[in-house]
Amino acid sequence: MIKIKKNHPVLIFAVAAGLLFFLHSFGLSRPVENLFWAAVKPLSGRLYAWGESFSHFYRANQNQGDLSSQVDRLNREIAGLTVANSQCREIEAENRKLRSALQFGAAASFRTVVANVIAKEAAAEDSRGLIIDRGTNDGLRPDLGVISEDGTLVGKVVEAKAATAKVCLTTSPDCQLAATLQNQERTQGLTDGDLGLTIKMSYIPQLEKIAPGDPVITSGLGGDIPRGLLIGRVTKVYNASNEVWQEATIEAPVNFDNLTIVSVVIP
Amino acid sequence: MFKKISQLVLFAGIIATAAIVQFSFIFALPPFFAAANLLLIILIFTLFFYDFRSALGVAFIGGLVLDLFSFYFFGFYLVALLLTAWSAEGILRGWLTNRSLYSFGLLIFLATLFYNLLVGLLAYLFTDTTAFFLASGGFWRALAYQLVWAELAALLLFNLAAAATRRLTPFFLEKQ
Repeated sequence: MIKIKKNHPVLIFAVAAGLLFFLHSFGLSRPVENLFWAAVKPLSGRLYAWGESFSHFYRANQNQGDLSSQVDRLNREIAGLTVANSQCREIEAENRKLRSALQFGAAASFRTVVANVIAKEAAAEDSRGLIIDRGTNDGLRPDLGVISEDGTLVGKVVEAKAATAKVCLTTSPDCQLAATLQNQERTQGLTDGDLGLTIKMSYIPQLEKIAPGDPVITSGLGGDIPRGLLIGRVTKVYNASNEVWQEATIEAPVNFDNLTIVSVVIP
Repeated sequence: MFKKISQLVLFAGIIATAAIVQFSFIFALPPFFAAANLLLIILIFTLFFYDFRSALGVAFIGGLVLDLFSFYFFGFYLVALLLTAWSAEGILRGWLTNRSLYSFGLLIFLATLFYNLLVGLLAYLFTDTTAFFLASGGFWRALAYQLVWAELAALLLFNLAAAATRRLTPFFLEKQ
């Protein structure tokens, strides 16, 4: 018969781990965890900023060859967007006039809380999420949307502590969002991450017409994320005749590796 | 007594800082650099040059801090690191009989392999990851990068340790 000594180190650490698991499960360790986060936040923020700076420098050196072609492409894109923007401004002004003429309620507004990214999890396969330096003290709660500096939805809050919160990225498999395609039919579906690289939109009915380039926005259904936040654009459509639903691959216009400042949308 | 407590606090502080550096700094780096597993390297170094009890301490404190940062369930990294420490101890006692660079390199290689397979398996079994980790190119690429870092660290740390102590210098019995 195998005899295990009472003071065997494995036994001692296994008991201690079990005790910690018990304390965490029942929320008894929360005050200590909050204290830990308050102490760690400044150091984590500084370390993350250094890591990002190095990463940025490294990528800039890697891609030096493509820079001139990138500048040309971006200039063309800016010209197109300037035209689109002026048209949007006209439509917005017209919309405002019509709303006031019809005495229609103002469009839903929301406030944002700006937060710094202090850490991120890069598992063996994918980047699952970020940790930000704002928490329940700033009004954050699970299921709130998180946007990048340019207003693209990059994820949602999954866990909020007093001074910090965990954010799952839209490319993470466990980050589901209700979405709408900006095509003629205003097709609705669900998006979730695909291997931490792209976003997949599923449950699109077979008869709906979708095409690469269609923008995908949040639908505002079933949650605290307001309607109309850009998630990305369709890059590929999977349409097998024997399937009930279609699927689409969506590419976000954001580099998820470069996120240092984000905003949490509070409706 | 006071000396022992202060040593323990210092030890815990160093390990907790290493775990914070892992999540806040290393994971923010480009993929090749982000694959480096600082805590695992410290764990194997402690096991090889100190003792099993200290290595379990590294696994316990490091795992606890990683779990506070992690998006996986609480205990994920704690269990993975404790089991890796236990298996590395088994390999060290059962298979590796000397304290050479080759032993250290092999131990760190096997521990990295075991840890990554265990983390992949735990993530596959207990989270909603749908793709099987062994069939993913990303898993093998990250593992290869991590092994390169682990072996580089083994080479550096062993030579530093050999320079600091005489215990690691080889000796030969010669016939008179």
